[in-house]
Amino acid sequence: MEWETPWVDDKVIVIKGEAGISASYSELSDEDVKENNIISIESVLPDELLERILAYLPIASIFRASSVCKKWNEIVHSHRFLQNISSISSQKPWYFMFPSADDSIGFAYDPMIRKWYSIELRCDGTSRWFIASSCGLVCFMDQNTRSQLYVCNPITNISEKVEMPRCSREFDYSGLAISVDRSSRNYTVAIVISKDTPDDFVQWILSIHIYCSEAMMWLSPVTETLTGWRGGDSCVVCDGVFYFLIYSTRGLGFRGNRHGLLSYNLSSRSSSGMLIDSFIPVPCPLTCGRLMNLKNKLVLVGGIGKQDQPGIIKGIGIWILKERDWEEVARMPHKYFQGFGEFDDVFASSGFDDLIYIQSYGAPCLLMFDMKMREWKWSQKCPILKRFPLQLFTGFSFEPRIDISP
Amino acid sequence: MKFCTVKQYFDDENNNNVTNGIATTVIPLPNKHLKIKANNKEMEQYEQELLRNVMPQELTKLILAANYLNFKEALDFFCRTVANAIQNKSVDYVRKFFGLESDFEPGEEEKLCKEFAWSFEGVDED
Repeated sequence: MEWETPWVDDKVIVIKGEAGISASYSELSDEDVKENNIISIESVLPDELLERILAYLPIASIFRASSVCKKWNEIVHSHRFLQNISSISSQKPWYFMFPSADDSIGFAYDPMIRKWYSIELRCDGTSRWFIASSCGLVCFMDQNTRSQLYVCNPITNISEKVEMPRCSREFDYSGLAISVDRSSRNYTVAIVISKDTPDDFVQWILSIHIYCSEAMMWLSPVTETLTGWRGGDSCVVCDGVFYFLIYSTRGLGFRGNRHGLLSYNLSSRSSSGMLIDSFIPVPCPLTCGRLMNLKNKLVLVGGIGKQDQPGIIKGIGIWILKERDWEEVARMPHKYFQGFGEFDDVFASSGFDDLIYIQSYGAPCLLMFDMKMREWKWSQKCPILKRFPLQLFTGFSFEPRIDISP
Repeated sequence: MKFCTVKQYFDDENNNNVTNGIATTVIPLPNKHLKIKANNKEMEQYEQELLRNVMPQELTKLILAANYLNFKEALDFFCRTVANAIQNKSVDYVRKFFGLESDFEPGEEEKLCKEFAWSFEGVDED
């Protein structure tokens, strides 16, 4: 790796005389600087070391650095800097929060410096969206027309439109996931859609559609009729496998699991058995489940419900999938649960790396869980105001990357 | 490992690459690092002390010395310190810190500020 090589420059000798000045920086006026003829720091720092300093900055500071001077602008946009920046992984996943009715204007939270930024996402219109994210790219699917999909980098605002195949436009339920290959930078979009069968509420037709950005092609490898189950909106791609939650379509009298997990290996070329054979039950009765990919491990954040009382949430748990079993990682302590005020049985949750965000739909409050430190923490208060009692909020997590584009 | 270069430095009498002042700061660092590696708070305090007492030019020399001595931990630490000193500061502050001037055409800079306007919000007062 380039940065391991030490750099030696004879120019260091020239500034030897300046050693020993101890006046603090703020006390020096511009005149003092000119009089003492101090050579600018920047001229003696080689580009590699300057890049190293810039790579430690939070994203917003990197953008400001690009407007310091032409050289810094070149450095920030240089191939080498963009490649190296991802190896200094000091950036943490951000969270974009917005009022549900008005999707494009919201606030993005940088937990590294605990700051909210007002960012407008460039999507057409203000219709409602399914949203998924991976490795700096965010995918939006229009819930209304269902004909278009956008893949964009919300930080650099570069986006690309993808036309949806006709066969995927008619559905009752849909889930969207995206996966970016970190080396090739190609992305895969996976959609699971469910349609009910006429005259039979128990049987549903579930199909999976996959888009590959390299080939610019859609494939529809799987269509299966499920008895007693349908797909929903919670899904994620983790380590090359498309995971999605399924929901029971049996009546309220049904005593079994009301949620379950199915999976489909994206790299499988031939039909390797029925989807239903991959069924893994959920760890407890859930009110809602949110799937996420944390460092290539499948994590479930779920509202813990009562078997015989749907709609009642007792708490929120976090589980990680190990082989075919769920291992409990944490439960939200009661004080945080109460901190949300009113908490519906369904909520928004997403995350990356070691960070999970949890947000109640009823309020712009954001809770974070650090998987490594096993710590719960509120975010800095979001500047969005709740303008009327029934106003709803939602959001999604994404990795802030300046080096990736659709 | 890191001490090979240091030994070489002392052996080489004609070595002008690292001034004495810098060497006395950088060389004790391995011990300090080992002692307080586990304690983040002490590292933060050391960093604050460094920023208060050491001028930007000195900090740069520390970076150059650490780089020459191939002392990765010190290099990362000093680079991070400089980054922390300029993060969330205005563009003008960063220019003064590094002794730079804007060489953009009129209008070019405004264009950059407008494109990512959100990143210019809420910077610290100079």
